[in-house]
Amino acid sequence: MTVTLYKMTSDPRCLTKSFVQSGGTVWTQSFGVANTDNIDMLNPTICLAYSKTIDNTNQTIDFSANYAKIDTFDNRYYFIKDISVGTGGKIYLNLAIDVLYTYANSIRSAKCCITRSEDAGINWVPDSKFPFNSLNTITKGESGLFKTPFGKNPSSPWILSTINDNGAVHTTPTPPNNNE
Amino acid sequence: MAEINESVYGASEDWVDAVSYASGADDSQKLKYANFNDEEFYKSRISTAIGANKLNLDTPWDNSLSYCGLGVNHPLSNITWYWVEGTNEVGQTNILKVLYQEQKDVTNFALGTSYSPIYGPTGDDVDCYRLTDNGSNNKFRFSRWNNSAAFDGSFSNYSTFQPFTQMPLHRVVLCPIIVCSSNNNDDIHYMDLANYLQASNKSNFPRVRQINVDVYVDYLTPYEDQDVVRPGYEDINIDWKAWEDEHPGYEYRVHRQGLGDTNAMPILDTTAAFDGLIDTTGPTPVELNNVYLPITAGHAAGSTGITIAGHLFGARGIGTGDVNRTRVFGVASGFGINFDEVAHKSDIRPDVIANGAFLYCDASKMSNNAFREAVRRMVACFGLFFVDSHYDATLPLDHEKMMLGILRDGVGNGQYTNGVYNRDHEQWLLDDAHDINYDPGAPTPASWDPNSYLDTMNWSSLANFKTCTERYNLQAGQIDQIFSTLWTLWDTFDPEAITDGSIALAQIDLKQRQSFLTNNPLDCIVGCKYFPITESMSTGSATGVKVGVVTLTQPGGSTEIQAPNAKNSIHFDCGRVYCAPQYQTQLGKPDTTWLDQYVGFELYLPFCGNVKLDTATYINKWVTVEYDIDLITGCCSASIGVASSETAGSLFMEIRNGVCCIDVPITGIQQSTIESNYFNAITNMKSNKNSFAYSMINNVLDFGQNVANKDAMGAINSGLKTLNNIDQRIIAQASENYNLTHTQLPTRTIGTAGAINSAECYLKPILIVTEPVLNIPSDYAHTIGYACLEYGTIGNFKNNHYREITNVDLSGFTCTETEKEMIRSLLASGVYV
Repeated sequence: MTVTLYKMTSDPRCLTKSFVQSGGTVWTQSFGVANTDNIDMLNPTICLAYSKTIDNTNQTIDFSANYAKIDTFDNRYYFIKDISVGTGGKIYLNLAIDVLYTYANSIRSAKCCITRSEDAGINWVPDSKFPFNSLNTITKGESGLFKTPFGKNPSSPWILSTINDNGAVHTTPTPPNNNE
Repeated sequence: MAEINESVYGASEDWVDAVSYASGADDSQKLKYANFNDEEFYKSRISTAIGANKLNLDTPWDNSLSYCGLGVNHPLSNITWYWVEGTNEVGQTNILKVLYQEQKDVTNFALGTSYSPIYGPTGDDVDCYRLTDNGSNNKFRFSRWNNSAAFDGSFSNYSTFQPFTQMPLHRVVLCPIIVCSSNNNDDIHYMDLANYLQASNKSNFPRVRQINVDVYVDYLTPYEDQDVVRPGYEDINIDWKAWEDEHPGYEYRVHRQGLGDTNAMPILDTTAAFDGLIDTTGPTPVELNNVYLPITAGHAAGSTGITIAGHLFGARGIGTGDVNRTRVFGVASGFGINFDEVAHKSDIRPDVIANGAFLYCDASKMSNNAFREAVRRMVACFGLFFVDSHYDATLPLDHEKMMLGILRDGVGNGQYTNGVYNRDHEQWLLDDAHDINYDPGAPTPASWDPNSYLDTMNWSSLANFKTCTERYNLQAGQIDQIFSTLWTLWDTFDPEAITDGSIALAQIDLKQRQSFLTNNPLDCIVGCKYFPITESMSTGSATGVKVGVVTLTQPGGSTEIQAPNAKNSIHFDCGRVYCAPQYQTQLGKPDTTWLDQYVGFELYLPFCGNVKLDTATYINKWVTVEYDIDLITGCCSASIGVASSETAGSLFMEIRNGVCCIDVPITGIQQSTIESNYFNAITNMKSNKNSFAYSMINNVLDFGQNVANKDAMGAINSGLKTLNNIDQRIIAQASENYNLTHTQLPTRTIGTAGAINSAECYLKPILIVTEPVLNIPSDYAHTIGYACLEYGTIGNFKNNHYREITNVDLSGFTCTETEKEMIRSLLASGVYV
C-alpha cells in the first residue's frame, strides 16, 4: 500500500483541486505504509516510517503535506486531518476521504438541480438569505394617475332636501286605439 | 353539431356562394347561402323559402336557421316598442308612448345579408311578428327580418333576407360601431368602439343613437400597395378622427388569420362587407350602406316630419309625415346602455316629441370602461370573434386584442375571452358557425352561469328608484340665501301695528296667507348636506326651490332662488394604475425580480381609508378604483378591482364604504310657534279691549242708576268697582301688550353637524408602493450565491463557481453508499464546481 502526499491549496469544497508545483510538476511524496491492519477506507489512520532512503538519499516526510492518495483504495484522495509522531520513528496520518475530488469526473456528469449559484442572471426565485437594509416607501399616484370626483372647491356642493308639492300626479296617457 | 336542416336549406352541395370567389377556393372556407328553391332566381331569400313552403310562418326563426341564441340581457332580447300618436289631455299631438316591453330569455339569431330589402311584408303576408290584440291583429306587426314596417305604404310581400347556411368561424370577425351625435345638433358620426373612446370623441358626441356591428369576413385592402402606415390604436396621442379624415377611403377590412391556415384561405375577389338581419339602406345621413348589423336603438333618418326612424325590427319613419307608415318602432337596450333619453321634446312634457326626435343613450353618464364593457358584451353574445378597433380585424385569433364571445349551450350572455384564452372555447375547434351546439327549438332557455369564466363586474344604475323628497343642488352662494331666507321669510308681521290696533285680526288669518305644508318651514326641510364633489351632481334645468308650497326668494327681494335637482347617485371611474414590478433584470446584474413578492401595494381612498392589496394578485396587473356615491345619504362605496390589461374588464376584489358628505344643521324661525304666540296675544288683547269697554259702560250705568236711586253707598261701590275694573284692565292690557311685544323668537335647528375632517384630507386615490431596498455585498455571489432553480448536468455549468446542488443523480457511481451520502451532503451544502 503506497501513500502519495500532496500539498493542496484549494478550498475543500472545490471539485477541482489545485496543488503546489515543484519543478514544473505537482509536488508529491510517496511512502509505503508500515502497518495495514485495521484501516478504515474512508477515514484511515496510516502508519509511515519517518524517513526512508531513496536513491541513497535519506528523505523525511514533509509536514506541510495536507493531502494524500492511497493507491490500494482505488486511488481515493484524502484530506490529511492530523499528523502525529509515534515511537520508533513512526508517523501516523489521520486521513478523511475527499469524495469531491475522488469522484470529480462522475460528479461532473451527474444531472442535478442547482438551488444557489454564483452566476448572476439566473436567480429568479426568492432568496431567503438576501440582506435588506431597510424599507423605503415610494408613493405613486401624485402625478395624476388616478382621477377623483372629489375636490376642495366644488362650485355646487350643496344638496338641500325639502318636502314640497312638486310631486303632483299627472294623468296617465291613454293607450293607442287599436282600431285605428 | 347543430343539425343543418337540409330539407329546408337544400342539399349542402347546392348551397349558393355568398360572393364570387376566386377559382379553386376551398369550398369549406366559403360563406354560403341556402338554396331554398333551385328553380327560383333568388334561391336564398326568406321569401323564396316561404313561397316554397320551406319555412313555417308561425315560427319566425326556423330551428335550423339560428346558429346561436342571444341571452336574456342582450338588447335584442329587451325591446321596448314605442308608439307615436294621438293627443294628450292638453291638446298636444305626437305623443310618445311605450306600447309594449318585450323581454325574452333567449332570442334565436342567425346572421345573413339583405342587400335590397326595400320593403317588408305587409298585411297578412310573410314573416311578421304579431302582437295580437283580441284577434284584431292587423295593426301591430313587427318584422324581424328587415327594417321595413308592417304597414308600409308600398306593398311588397317578400323578404330578401338571406341567412348564411355556412359561415366559417375563423373568417368572421365583428367590430362594434357607435353611431353618435353631439349634444347640440343632429349631425351623425359613426366610428368603431376603440375610436369612440379615444381622445374627445365620447365627450364631443355623447349621444349614442345606435350601436352596430361591422362584420369583417375577408380580404379587401385597396390601399394595400400604398405607403400608408397605420398607427396602433393603443397610441393614445392619435386623434383618430383627424387621422381618418386625412386618409379618406382608407379601407382595412381585412381578416385572413385563422387556425394556422392562412395559406389555405381563399381571397375574395369582391367586397366582403355584409349587413346582418336588418338592412340599413334607408335614407340615413351617413350612408350606412350594407355594412352594419344594428343591435340597439334606431337613429334618425332625415329631417322631415317626425323622424324617429328606427332601423330596428319594423321601425321606419313615424309621425305626421308618414301617415302610411307604421308609427310603431322598437328600441333595444341592454347591459346598462339604455336608450331612454329623448331629443327634441317639443316642450316640457317629455312625452311630446317634435320634428327630428330620436331616442339616445347619454354616454357621458357612463365611464369609458363601463361603456366599453357593455358594448363588448353586446357583441360577445353573437359567439364570434370580435375586436374593438377595425384595424385589429386582421390580428391572429389568439392575439390579446382579439376577443371571442363565450357561448353556453349555444347561448351568449355577454361573457368573452381574449388572447390565448380564446383557445379554450369550442369555436376555436369548430369550422363552421352552424357546428355550434345550439338547439333553437329547445323548450327551456339554455342555462347560464353568471359566474362563468373570466367574467367582469361593473356598477350599473338602479332602475325605478324614486325618492319622495325634492332635492336641490345648490351653488356655494345660494346656500347663504337659503339660510338667510329662513330667517326673513315670515317677517311680515308688525307687532306694533298689531298692538296699536292698526292691523285687523283678519289680516293675520292664516287661511288667507300662503302657508307651508305644515305651517312650519323647517318641518319641510329634510336635510342639508355639503358634498366636496367637483363632478356634476345636478340633473335637469334649474327651478325654484320650494319648501312646502312656497318658492323661496332671495332675501330682500322677490327673485326666486333657483337650482336644478340633484341626482340620486353618481358613479365615477377613477381609472386604473399599473402595479408595476419594482425589480427589473439588468444586464450583467443579478436578476432580482423575485424581490417583487416583498413589494407592498396599498391604496389610499378618500373617505374610505387605506386598503392593503395582495401583492400576488395585483403585481403586473392594473388596479381599478370606482366610486359610487349616494347623494341622498352621502354614503360612498369604492370598488377596488383588478384588470389584466389597461383596457380589460375589471373584477371587483374589495369594496370599501365611507361617508363623503358633511351634514350641515339649519336653523330658522319656528314659524308655527311664533304665529301661535302672536295669535294668542293679539286675541287676548282684542278681548281685553272689548271687555274693558263693556265693563266700563256697565259700571258707569250702575253708577248712574245708583245716583238716580239716591243710593249713595251703591254709587260709591259702583264707582269703586269701576275704578277697580279700570285698574285691572289697564294691568291686563299692559300684560297682553307686553306678551305681544316681548314674544321671543322661537327657533329650531334641523339636523346635526357632520365632521369635516375627512373632506379636509387628501381627496385623490393614491397607490402607495412599498419596496425593500437591497444591500448586496460584493462577495455575496461567490460565498453564498444567488437563489435559483436550474437543472442540468453539473459539468455544463461554469467552472469553479459556487453552487448548492440538490437531488443529484449518482447513477453510475462506483463508490460506497456512505460516499454517495457524503457527495449528496457536500453538494447540497455548497461546493465550487
